Amino acid sequence: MKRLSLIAALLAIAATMSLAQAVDKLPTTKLPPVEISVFTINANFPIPPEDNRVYKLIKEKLGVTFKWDIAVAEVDQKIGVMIAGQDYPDLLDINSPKFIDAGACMPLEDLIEKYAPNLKRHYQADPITWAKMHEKDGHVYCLLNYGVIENGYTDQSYWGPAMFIQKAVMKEFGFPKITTIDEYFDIIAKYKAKHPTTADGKPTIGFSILTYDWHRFDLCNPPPFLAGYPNDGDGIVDPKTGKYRVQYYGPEAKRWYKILNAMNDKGLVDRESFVDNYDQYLAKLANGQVLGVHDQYWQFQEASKTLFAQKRVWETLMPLPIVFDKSTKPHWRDMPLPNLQRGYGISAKTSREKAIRIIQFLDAQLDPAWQKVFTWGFEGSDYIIDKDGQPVCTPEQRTRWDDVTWRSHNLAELWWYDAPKLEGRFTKNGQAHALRNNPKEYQASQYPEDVEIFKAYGVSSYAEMMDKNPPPNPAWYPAWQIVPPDGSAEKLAFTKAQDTYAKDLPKVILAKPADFEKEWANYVDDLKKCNLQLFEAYIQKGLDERMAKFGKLK
Amino acid sequence: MSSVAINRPAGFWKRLLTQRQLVLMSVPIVLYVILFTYVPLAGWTMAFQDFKPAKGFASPWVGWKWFQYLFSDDLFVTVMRNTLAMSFINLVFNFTFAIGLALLLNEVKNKWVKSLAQTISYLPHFLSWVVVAGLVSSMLASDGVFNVILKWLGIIKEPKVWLGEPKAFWWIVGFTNVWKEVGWNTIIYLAAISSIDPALYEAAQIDGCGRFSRMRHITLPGIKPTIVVLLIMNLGWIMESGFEIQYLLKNGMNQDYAQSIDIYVVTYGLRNGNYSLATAGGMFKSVVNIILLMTANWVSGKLGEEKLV
Repeated sequence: MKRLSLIAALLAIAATMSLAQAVDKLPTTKLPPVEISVFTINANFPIPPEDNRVYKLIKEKLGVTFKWDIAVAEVDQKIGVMIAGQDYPDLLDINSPKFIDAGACMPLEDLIEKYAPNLKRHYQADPITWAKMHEKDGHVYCLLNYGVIENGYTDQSYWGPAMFIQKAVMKEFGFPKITTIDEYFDIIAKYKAKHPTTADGKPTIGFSILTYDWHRFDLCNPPPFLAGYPNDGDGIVDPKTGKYRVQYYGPEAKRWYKILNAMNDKGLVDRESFVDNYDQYLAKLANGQVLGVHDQYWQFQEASKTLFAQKRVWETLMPLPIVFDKSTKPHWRDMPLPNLQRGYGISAKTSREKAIRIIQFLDAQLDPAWQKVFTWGFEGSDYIIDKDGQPVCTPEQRTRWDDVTWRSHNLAELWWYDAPKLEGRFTKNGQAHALRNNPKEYQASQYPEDVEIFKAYGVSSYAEMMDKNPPPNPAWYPAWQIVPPDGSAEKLAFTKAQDTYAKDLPKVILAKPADFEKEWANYVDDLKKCNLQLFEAYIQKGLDERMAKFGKLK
Repeated sequence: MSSVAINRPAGFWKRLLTQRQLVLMSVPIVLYVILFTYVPLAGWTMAFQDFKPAKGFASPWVGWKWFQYLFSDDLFVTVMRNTLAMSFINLVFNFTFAIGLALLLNEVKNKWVKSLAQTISYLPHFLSWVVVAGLVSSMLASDGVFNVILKWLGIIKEPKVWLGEPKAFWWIVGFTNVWKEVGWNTIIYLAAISSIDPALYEAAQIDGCGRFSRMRHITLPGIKPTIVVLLIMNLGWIMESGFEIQYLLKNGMNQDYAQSIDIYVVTYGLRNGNYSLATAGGMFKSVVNIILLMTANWVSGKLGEEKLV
């Protein structure tokens, strides 16, 4: 016993010493200390505690402290108030054209050229990405937060859209192969009939829909996917002619809502999901009540984390590439895209001097050594390098990585999430930037339940489950990145259409099957009043420009 | 004639001099009103521009374009209807319930019971609307108290999602408002009642008046001036149906009955960055409010009642 604790103590000392060494090796900037105020829409993480080790290091080595302004809900409104008051912090978390259109951001291409070799290399590696980062006025305002991949894509987890189903449902019926929407609802209905309540007595919910605030896109996004189109959001681009149309009232949409209507009649659709807010939606998922949703994984990962922490892995959801007909080839998973107009920009109100200091910091934190601190932690204490030179975790370390409290003290998640970051591999065929995307650690970090599922379906990850080799993206893709400016007639038309579907689709879904046609006609009539052709013409113009600039359809 | 004309300003200055302390004391208030009520009116110019924050007030002038848009927009008409309807419901409920409760409280003889009832009734006033909205939405959920009671009474068979019933929304707002504000609103009536001469009650009692006749013939006429003044003041707010409660309880399904002018202004102005349209909407509301206030005041004067201005 005594010897054991001695060894433990020695190990701890060794870990601390190697930590100290690693810290010493971190690149530093010898620039005056600065406080950067940051506006972020990322409400997934709390304001970091004082003793967070990474923020301490950033302060010590890079001379930077942060002042956070986190938009918790009603993001667009908060941004609207900021723009109306022309009152901006130094760094603005861009997620729409609002800040850029309002002239709130500073052109960055010049600063990147002069002061930021890392950022320059990172964003200019792919000339098309760099060209797309330029706005209509020829300036770069936004440092993309995701989708700028170096040395090959490594991500094996699936963050994107899918028809999700509770893992327990698949297990119950011996992991059947499910491809069509009819099979999907069928198996959910069977499971629900068998298990009307969860283990702790809450009623199970067949299918839930997130309809709150801007998340409501989940209500109208499924039809194109089910018909085999990629994620163009509100519309469908004809792959042959390149012609765009809003998909809200297309034949695919009618087919989908007719199915939902029938499922509601069977009691599978959660009626409350049309009045629930985001928290209520997540709570139902985190209770393990929900058997199926259409969503994008990043929207409900917090609910899954809660279940993982309680070791209730079977009650989490897994993605399925569901389509209408067996003959349709699914296109749910797409190749990673530069996440245009999403990421940090520097406020135009910040002095040039401070902007230079900020861009130097952004550049410094993109150094591989710093990126490793953000995503791997420190060697010895958070991972070890095994005999093959691969990063792996000891079981204790792995448990810690899943511990939200540990993470809040030892990682800079709030900063890293929307900051410019390295994705892919450090070097060609080298290690992956995300600790768990390295093959050994990836295998070791999977829950046994998931491994069982992978084995049953002969895949190695959920991403593979969705699509092993997604086709390359056409140059115009995706249409959802083209957004008309605020205050324009096109935007007004679009907002109206969104309000209309939020109001009418619940009626369509909840109607008695006999009234479906009537409610549907009413919905189409209401949509026709919204002047959507204005919006369609705007998107078409944007797509045509992209096709002219970056090549044809394929 | 001429001496009067010269004397008047002199009299004014003299009076000003004698009341200089009062004048000095009112200076901060006047400045406050100018700064926060009149200076922002300059922002109304946005309603006549295609306002872009980047350009500020140098944005191009477009005349009545946004007003024309407003009145040709079906949504704005709906929003006006909702605002007036919810306002009217609130007004009627507020008056009847508050006066009713005040009359009842006045009849309670036990002082301790009376003040306890009064305190409990006005406690909800101090709750934030966010809390109230949370309470209301969980009470109205399909497994909430409201559905349980209705089911138990046999009024409904299947639980309903009440917040998804558009037509129920106005009444939800009306009754929530009553619950939250009724106690608070009685205070002023109770104060008015306490200033009625007790001799009147005694005389009435001797003349053989019962409780209800005393209420009708003494208490109510006694607080009539208060009621009229409050009514005039409230008519000036008829375009303000409240904002928080609708904002917090609205959702896709009930939006046709939930959106008030204020919500319209926030969604189109702040969220969608159409500041000009929002200003036009807000401006229209203010102008209607002023007209209503003036009319109510004038009518009240004609009827020989209290006038506010």
